[in-house]
Amino acid sequence: MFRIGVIVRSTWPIHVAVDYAKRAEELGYSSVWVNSLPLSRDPFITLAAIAENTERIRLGTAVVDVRSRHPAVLAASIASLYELSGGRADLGVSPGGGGSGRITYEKVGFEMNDPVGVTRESVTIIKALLSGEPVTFKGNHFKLESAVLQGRPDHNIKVLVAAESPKMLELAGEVGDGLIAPKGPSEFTKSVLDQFLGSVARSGRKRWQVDTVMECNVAVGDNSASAVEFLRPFVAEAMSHLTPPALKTLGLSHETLQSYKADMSRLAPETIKQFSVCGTVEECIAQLKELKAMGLDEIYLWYPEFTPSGKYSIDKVKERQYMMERIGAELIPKLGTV
Amino acid sequence: MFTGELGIHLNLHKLGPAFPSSEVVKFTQTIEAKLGPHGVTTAWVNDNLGYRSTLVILAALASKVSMKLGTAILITYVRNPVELAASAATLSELTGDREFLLGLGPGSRVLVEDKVEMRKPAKFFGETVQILTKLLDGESVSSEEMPTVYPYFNLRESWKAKLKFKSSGRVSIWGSVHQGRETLMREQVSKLCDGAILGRVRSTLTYEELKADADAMDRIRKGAGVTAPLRKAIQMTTSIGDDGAASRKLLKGYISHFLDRDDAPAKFGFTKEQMERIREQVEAHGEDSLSDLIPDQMVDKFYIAGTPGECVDKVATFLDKVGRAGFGHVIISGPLGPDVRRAIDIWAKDILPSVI
Repeated sequence: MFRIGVIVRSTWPIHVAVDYAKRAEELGYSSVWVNSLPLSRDPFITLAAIAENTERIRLGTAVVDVRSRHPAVLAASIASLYELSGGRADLGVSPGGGGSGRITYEKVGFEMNDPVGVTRESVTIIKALLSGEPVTFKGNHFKLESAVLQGRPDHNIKVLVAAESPKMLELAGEVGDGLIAPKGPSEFTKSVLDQFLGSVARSGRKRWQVDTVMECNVAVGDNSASAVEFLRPFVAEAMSHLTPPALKTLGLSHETLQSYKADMSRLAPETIKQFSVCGTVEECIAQLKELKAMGLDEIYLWYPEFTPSGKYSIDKVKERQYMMERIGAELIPKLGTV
Repeated sequence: MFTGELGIHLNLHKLGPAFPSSEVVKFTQTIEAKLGPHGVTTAWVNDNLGYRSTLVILAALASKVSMKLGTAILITYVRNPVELAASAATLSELTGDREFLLGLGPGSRVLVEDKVEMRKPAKFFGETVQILTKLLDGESVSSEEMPTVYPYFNLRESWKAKLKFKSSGRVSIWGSVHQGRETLMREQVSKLCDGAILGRVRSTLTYEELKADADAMDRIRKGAGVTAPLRKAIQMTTSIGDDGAASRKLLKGYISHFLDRDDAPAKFGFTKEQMERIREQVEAHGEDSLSDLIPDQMVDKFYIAGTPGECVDKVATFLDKVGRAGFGHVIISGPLGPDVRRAIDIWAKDILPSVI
């Protein structure tokens, strides 16, 4: 069945994150994903706290960067979380610093070079360690000598790779067990999924062996217009996070996106719809069917942060929770029809 | 009579495959239920390169037990201190009113050296503690303040940052110090940390030897102009079970931790040939392979091991002398016993009621 998850933010106090995740589980959401940024809360600690307070919902990072933590640390962290949660954990990774996030990484001294190379090395090491075999690796970014992840659980931990550019999509399909990508207009979304699944096939794996997940702004309304208006600020913010390769694919300029952010009223309803799933329940179901037909397995409610400083606001969490409740009550019970 | 705090050390890699993360949580709940009434208030979790994540385990424990939590110790070389500060602040949000005791150190050469480069241990440690202290206080740090640390983690120069959130929880920073050694680490810990964790402690040390350690750390701290007293914890390494020989056997490997000391042969009664054979054996087969090379009597010179009847007076004596020497926190450490669950029962029924 098509799945819908939620994201909790590393800017939220941990008890807020745990309560939000518990409520998502009660509402029937499939997954809770935790994002990660330098200088913010540790996503594995947040997820461990959520694991101890939930029973069913799947847990994942969306995403943790591969630069600030050594792959051995990432492997041990996700393996521990998997054990703790009774097999509910997946690892989503990225090279870090997509869109405006790059500034945050540079602020703490990270060299943001070679995103494809650093991700390839990290994912290769993580997967090798999770296999339980001794790992010796000498790369440009990481080195290991006869390292073994002990106490390995019997697991099937998936390592999903965040990607939207052609090179990263190729890599995600080659070494990852899944894809995490932003949802864009239909042509963009289809292109992203086609590139990823094409790479999966070239790597000799089957479609069922990988997961496809997209971060997505979702709103259910009494009518299409009210859902669009709910999402207007979120989509304006989300578009400002698009990476240069995505902008190129979409034919958008950085200036255009900044103008949307400065004056959200310039954002046309059609554009908001392209970057989201929104409308009445029936309209949302139709859009989800279209996404499923393209090869998508899951979306999670994204709703980006507004402040670059990552300043937490309980009102913003409540705004998200209002829509999480509504989607839980009205859309999730009908996912079986997607 | 010892009137300080008692803690217990959860040695994740010694607990081994029988204790996956969820079992560690259940085991700690059992410890809290059985030893809490006898004054064991803190669970310290060790770092382990290649085993389970200390931070993930601690996060789970924070939700399931009401004991204070700590690390003893986290290895400084494995985590960028900026990330570590964020992790510590996140954990302290979970522990809330309970103090989170962040124990740090470069790690044992025997256990760590072949896995990570141990570059300038004391300097690296000192920079890490200073960075953590500032970040956890809500201050900014810059790359200039960590000239040893930032190149180690392949970070570039000239940056300044502070945490994006401030936890209301309390974090105290502790450093590991080896007993009886006037090292640069002892200086850094005494000057910079809230507390010191004295490790590599032989149970047969005299009160005078222990007092000398405590006084030396206090002197260094006073000399550095730090007015807040240094809190002092000490490890009490034990292995207790119904089979005394099996209990002692478990601790033979621990004796190898003393082998990097140049004065080891003279101080601990080894011959040079014995030392060499033990070193070769550890290198080839690990520290758990030493049972034939180290006699039982040698274990008794180092640690508290054996049956409950053999150990109860040794525990009482140890607690009395370390308490008088100025150590306010004793961490029950080591493998605990051949059957760790039985060992907890022994501590609850046979040891602690007699000594506290």
